Amino acid sequence: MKKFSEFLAERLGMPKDVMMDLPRISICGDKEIYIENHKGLLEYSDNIIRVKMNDGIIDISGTGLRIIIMEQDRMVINGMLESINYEKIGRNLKNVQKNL
Amino acid sequence: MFKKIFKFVNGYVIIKVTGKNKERFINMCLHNNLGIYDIIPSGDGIVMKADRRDFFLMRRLVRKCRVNVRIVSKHGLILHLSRYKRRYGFLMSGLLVCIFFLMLPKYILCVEIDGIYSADREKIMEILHEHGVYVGAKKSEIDDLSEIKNAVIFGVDGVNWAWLYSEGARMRLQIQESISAPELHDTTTPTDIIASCDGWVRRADIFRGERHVNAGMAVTAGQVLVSGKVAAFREGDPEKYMYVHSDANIIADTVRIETGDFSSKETLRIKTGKSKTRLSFDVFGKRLDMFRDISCGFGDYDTAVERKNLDIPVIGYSGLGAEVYRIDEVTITERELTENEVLERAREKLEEKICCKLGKGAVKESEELTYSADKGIYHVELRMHLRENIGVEIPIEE
Repeated sequence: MKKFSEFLAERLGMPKDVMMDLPRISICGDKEIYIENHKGLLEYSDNIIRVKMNDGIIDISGTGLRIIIMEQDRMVINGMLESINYEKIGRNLKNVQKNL
Repeated sequence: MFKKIFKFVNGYVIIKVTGKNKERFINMCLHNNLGIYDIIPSGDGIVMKADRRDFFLMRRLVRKCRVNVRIVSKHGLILHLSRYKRRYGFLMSGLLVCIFFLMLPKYILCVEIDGIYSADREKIMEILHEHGVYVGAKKSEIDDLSEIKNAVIFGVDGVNWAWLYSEGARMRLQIQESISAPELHDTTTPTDIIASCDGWVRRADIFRGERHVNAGMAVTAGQVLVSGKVAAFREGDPEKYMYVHSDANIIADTVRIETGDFSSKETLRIKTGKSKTRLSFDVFGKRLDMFRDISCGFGDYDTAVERKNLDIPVIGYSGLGAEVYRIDEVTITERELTENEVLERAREKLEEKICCKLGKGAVKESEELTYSADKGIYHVELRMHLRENIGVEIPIEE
């Protein structure tokens, strides 16, 4: 079942990331990744960065990963990107994540 | 750029966060709007920069997240200045230096006069002194600059115009000297025309005076060519003379001879590549040399001087300056010149000597160069054949 906000976004032709508070991810080749509407950092090391989203977790792996800019709602990650994995989590897992 | 400057002025600390919940600590910092940036993982922890003010607000979050925070280093202007908070002597001396530099432009520490070639420098200095412009004088006590300028223009002979500038602690007077008009040729004094050198007269155009020479005649130096004493009587009448200013063009072929000795060796100063720099300070007109011996231990050397003045923005010249001496070691060697080179140099020198003695409109017809060499010394003689006006005016003796 569609959410009301999703229905509204579709009907009005508005961007879904604004209406539904969804993350917007832009990737620049294998060098840079730009994430908007993130919900916090879960893990940060040279090789892996895990970022919490509204409905999941994004795993970024690579080498020499660095967070260039980190603000409350946006983040820029730099380095040699190898893989990006979007892990969708259910309602129960969300509560677990919230405790983090 | 401005952001960086702003951060440096406010001050920041580089911290290392270690512990289990270091990512949570970062999230909470962002959630509480605490300024953290340049977040870099380092070994078992995360290194980041935090604003100086926000660092003190992190204590609560540190306790909540159970992480360890260690300051790696402190940076920023405020943090540097805080080290000198209780050093009153240092602050006082800094304050005194500021006051000193602010007080500097209130006094004249240097008076410069530019553009003087023939005008009386002492007279100018005297006029400036009368109007209160001298080393050590208060700038507030000097007269109006345009008034001083006018006093110099009207009070000193040979000064066409002057500009007076006040540049910080320096007063600079720029002088424009007047160029005197060429003297008018005197045509009233009775004169004879005599030969300036020996020659063979080719043409004699007499405009005024009594002719004593004709074309084709050979004349010697000092011989009267045109006389200013003109007979003005008829035969049988008592002698009566008229004295006039003679005017004539006596064109003659002449030979000018110059001799000289020239060495076949040329001295060369070649830089060895070794150079040293020496400083000399100029403190309110007093020279302080920062060296004992300018030669720097070099046997032969060349010196180049570069002057630098300390000009403070807004204030201007501070009365402090420095002279940088660059001393280059040189080796003096002698080079043997070829015969042609020696003769060419000799010709140039001797031609220059002859040209100094010539009158107006002289034309070179030909020249001969003869020489004899003895032990590296060339005795050179230059004979220059010319066509020139040999007439020279001299006043008539009573």
